Amino acid sequence: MKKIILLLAGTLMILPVTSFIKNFNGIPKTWNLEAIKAFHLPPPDASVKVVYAPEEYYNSLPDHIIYKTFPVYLREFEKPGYVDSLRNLEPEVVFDPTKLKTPEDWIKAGELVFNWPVAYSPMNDSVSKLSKSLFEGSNGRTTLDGIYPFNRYVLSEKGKLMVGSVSCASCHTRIMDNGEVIAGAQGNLFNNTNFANAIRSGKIPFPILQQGSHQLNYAPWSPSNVKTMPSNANEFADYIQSAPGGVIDRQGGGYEYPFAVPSLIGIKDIKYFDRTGLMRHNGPGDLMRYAAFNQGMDMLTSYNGYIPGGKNKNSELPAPKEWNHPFGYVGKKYTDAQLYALTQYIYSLKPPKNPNKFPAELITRGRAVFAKAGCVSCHTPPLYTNNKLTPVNGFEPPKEHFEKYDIFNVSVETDSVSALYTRRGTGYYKVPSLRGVWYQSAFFHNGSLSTLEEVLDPKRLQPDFIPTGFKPPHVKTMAVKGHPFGMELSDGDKRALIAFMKTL
Amino acid sequence: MKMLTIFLFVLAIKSAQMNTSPVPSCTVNFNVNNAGFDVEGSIGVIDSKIEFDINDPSHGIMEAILDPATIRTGIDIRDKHLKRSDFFDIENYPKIHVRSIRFKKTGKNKFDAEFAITIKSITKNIIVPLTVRQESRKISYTANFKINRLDFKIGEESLTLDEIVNVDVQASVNIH
Repeated sequence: MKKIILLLAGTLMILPVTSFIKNFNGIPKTWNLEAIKAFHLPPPDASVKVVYAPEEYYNSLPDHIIYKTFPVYLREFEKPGYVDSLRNLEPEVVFDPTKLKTPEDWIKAGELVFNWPVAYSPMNDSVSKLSKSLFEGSNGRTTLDGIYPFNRYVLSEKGKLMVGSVSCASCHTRIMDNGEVIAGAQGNLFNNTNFANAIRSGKIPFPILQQGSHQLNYAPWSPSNVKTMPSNANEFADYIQSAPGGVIDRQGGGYEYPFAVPSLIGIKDIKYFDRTGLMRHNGPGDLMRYAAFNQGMDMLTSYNGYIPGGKNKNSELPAPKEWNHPFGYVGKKYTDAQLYALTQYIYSLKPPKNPNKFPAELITRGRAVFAKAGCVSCHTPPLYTNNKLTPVNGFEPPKEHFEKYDIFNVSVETDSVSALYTRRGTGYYKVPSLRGVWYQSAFFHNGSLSTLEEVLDPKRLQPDFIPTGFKPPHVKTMAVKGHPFGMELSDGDKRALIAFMKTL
Repeated sequence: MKMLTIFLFVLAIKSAQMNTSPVPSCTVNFNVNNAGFDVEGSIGVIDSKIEFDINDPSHGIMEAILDPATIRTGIDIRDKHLKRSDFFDIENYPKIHVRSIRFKKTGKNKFDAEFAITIKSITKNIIVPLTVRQESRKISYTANFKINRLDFKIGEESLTLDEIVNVDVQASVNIH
């Protein structure tokens, strides 16, 4: 009996260790060049030579050490002495993979990674730099208790407080009109007023802005009439401020061609990342790679020898301290464990409770319209996407793509610039899932439309249309072309269809 | 002169039975279930030939060439898609050929017609129930049948789009 008890006790002691080893050993390797090559779609111009940063380079980058971070409040909501009190705290490392035993542990740890900023600026003031007035007439949002989740205070050294930004949460947190905060949703909280003011005032020298914009937007295969940078500071400030909630300017996008932010909720089932389907998604390893690329490494990919974040005229990889990312990303990498935890958190995200209440007959009618009008062919239940890529006007899928990728072989004739002439371009747009459209406000890849009513409105095809979503600042009216489905429906059918979609 | 009169008389009788017309009036409509609802469409016929004697069906000939570029389903982009490589691939296969192989009488005005249907270079023989009706000034031919679109590599397996396509062919030949 004694032997059995000892054996049992021994087993119980060993179990957590083996469980940890099993989990830890099961973590995919992020910077696996074979996997990286396989998961990327090529640029639309097949002659472009794409070279990813070598494994030795990636491994040489210092790791992010994830410390406890703290919310950034608007001044009016901040408790007196709050900021100074943070400086007096001891830095606390909160991500420790050796302590992660259960799936729930990994999910919780992933939330820390999700909220971990990767760009920092010193915080020397005693009160928040942000105030209510900054948000008046701006697209940015805060929570009801005055928190601005785009930023977090970071304390990695006692007494030295930093304002951190561009975490995953910065772009993938949504604050609803009722104040509800939805992690992982299409983000809508970024306030760019301070940045725009700094541009207008000349605090940020214009040549630096131009250079940064070029780094972000230049694709070597793009024709010369596709702009990569602003002509003057005001134009750039206007552009920055013209992006409504749910729309962001991204590295590898195009100047004045921002992207609608995707919702991460339900992404486990989605086969391609990015509006352009740039990367395939076959499991956590791919999502880890996506995060690694988008949080810095994609600026170090070489396109015909042009490295957007490279030194010596964009020709060489920079040392970690030489990183020069226009968004301020530091020259560090996430550990594989951090990225794996991040994937487990993202996969665990659940949609918020849908507050929409519609009569059952309306939903039934809407469901029928959805099928009859052919929406169902691309936005196929249960995911409300067929998980395929549609070629854009100006791109004919090469034969071998039909073997490799999931192609719905017809263009829906939306604007093709982002798919053809940006570094995220593949020649395709992904068929987006309609799940959760009720908590989105940016539709179409550039976020030019902000309501489903607009999507179904034939007036948007006309040049005198004024989109409520993104439009370049110098443009007063513009047609939002393509995806002309459902426009001829009766008003009643449209109402029913929209009601149905808002239940998804 | 007498011989010529007899010849013309015989020819007139023959024409009433064996209808030959270089371009009979012919329409091809189809429907296929997509997510519980029928999608209806049509494909234009660019050439057709009917030589059919209801009293001697064994020597009958029916042929048609269809143009998949004329496919219409009511949604313009869907029609464009149907013409592309994963469906009809009209660049490489601009014509659909339908050719009769044999006919077998099954009842009054009714026949089983075996047709060879060639789409995208794939030929399948299909037995089609055919109804022939002679009216005062024309003869009408009606055929309803099903094909499996996957047999011809028209699209791929789908969660929503049925594999079975119902085809309705109406043809008529005027009698002069």
